[in-house]
Amino acid sequence: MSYYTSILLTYFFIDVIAALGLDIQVGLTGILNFGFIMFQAAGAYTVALTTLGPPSKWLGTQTYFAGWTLPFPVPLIAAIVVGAVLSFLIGLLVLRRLRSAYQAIVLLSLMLVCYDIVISSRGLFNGTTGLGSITPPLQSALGLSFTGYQWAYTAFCGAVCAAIFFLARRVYRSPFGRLLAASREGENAVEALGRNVFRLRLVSMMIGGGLGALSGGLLVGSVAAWSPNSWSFFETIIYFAAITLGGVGNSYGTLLGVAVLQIGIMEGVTYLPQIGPPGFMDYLQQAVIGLALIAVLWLRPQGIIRERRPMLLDTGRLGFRLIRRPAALSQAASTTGDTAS
Amino acid sequence: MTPRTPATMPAGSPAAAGSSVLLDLRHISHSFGGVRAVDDASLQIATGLITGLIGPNGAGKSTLLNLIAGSIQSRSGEILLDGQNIATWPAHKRALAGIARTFQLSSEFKRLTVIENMLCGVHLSRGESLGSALLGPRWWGRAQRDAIDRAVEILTRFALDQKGNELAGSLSGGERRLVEIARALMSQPRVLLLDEPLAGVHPRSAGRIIDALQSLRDSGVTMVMCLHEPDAVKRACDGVVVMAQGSVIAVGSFDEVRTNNAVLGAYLGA
Repeated sequence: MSYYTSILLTYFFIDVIAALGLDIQVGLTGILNFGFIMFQAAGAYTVALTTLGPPSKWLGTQTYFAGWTLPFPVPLIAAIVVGAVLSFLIGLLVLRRLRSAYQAIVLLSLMLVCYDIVISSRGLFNGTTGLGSITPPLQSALGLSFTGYQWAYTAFCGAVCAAIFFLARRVYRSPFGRLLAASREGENAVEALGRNVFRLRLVSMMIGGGLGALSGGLLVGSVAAWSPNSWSFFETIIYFAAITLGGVGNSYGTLLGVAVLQIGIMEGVTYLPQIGPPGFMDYLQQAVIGLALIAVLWLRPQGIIRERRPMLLDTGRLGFRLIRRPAALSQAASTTGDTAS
Repeated sequence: MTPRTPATMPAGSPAAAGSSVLLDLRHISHSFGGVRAVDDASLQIATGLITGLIGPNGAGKSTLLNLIAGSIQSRSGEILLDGQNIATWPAHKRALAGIARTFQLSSEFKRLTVIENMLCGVHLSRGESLGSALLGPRWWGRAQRDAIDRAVEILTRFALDQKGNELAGSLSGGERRLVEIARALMSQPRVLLLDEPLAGVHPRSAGRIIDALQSLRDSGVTMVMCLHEPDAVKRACDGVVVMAQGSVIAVGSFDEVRTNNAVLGAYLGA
């Protein structure tokens, strides 16, 4: 139970980091990043490559390019940098000319292209088999028992998650966050107010990419392996479902969405009595997530916790309070498929 | 309040007495596919006045505003702002140079509050980059408070100060238009481009908007606006430019252009 709990918490913290990155892109800025999972994969592969050592060490059982053994936390920092640089390059391609739906299509296509490249080129990241035996950070240096180390790693992930949450809150509440939200509402209007929307969105893309990669780096430290199965398109849907369920455009909604989806739904399904052929429960899990996403979009498109805006005039301070959303706006969002509240 | 001396002139004509040229458009053209939306348009806009841009549907009025604002890049010609050619500048750079605008469909940020809309209209010295945002409200709070004071001042002029904490999307059509204009004023623009500011607005609100625009004109803001309503043109504009099929066909006061044969022909198809 203790080990199970620590694993569950570790995944929760890691998923919150990833979902915050996605929410900054989707909920706050309005970039429909259907290729988000590739940034998590980029971080995971980066940590793997900077931890595994040279490929010759594996006598042909694992093939990949380069390969180093860098001390903790350099692999994690490298993962963030790689995620940010990758999202910068993709942002250059996607954000300048394309609008919302087209951005989503191109991002999804790019993710699928990356996926195919990784699968078909065994020399990059060991193809479909993926990379294994990745040493968890500081495992031998800490000298803890197996469970003890797992809890230490959970605590580390929790601390990183708390720091990211704190910083993300600062972004949401800041004038910078306000401009991102404004660019979500009207790109041309923000441009007409003297802001370079392309640059704003590029920064948002890099924040999300960096956080996605960080989550991937932390995840690979926990599971000690990474393969193409770990980053299928459905993983992106899970993150989309989490932020939509909790409420897009606000950090508490993201936190709640991950908790409800991961602990309430994904883990809840595993407690159901086993029915059907082997593997059926996995499909059932995916089906339940899909149905939950559809139900939220129909019944409460703004999510469980709707976006909160600061009431700057009442207080003269910077506190956030809930503002009742006009029914007309909720209806408009649901009919247009726009889930940001 | 009555319109002042018409001061919008075709290129090459002398500026009206006492008015300097703020915006000078020279041989501007733009096509959408095979349609020539703006065809060799030349125009001078004088400082401190309201210029009405009128014409039948498809005349090229909105396209001309978009070309001035940089929302569309002109393929040929020059756009001089105080003598500097800005024709190749992107929209945000033109905004920084002092060209503010509103849109045909009101473009308030619906899911932001009115005061937040206003704050987007001004460049804060702190908090608008990722780095300074991460430093927290202690770093950028003061700059924001100063901007809030200015926003309240402008909103008060438009009788919207009580709406500051409301989501912009919850306001009436007329109020949204006013928020859009008020937001554009946050940057203290030199010229304000208004694309159909009275479209879809209740007549009572329309009167309120015109009053606000004339008050702005009196405080020195130069405006160019597309309009369809003749009464509003007569009431609000100091000079009128008439466009048809992408070209400028007449310039003068409202009374002058209404009797112009070319203008009558454009509207009546004669």
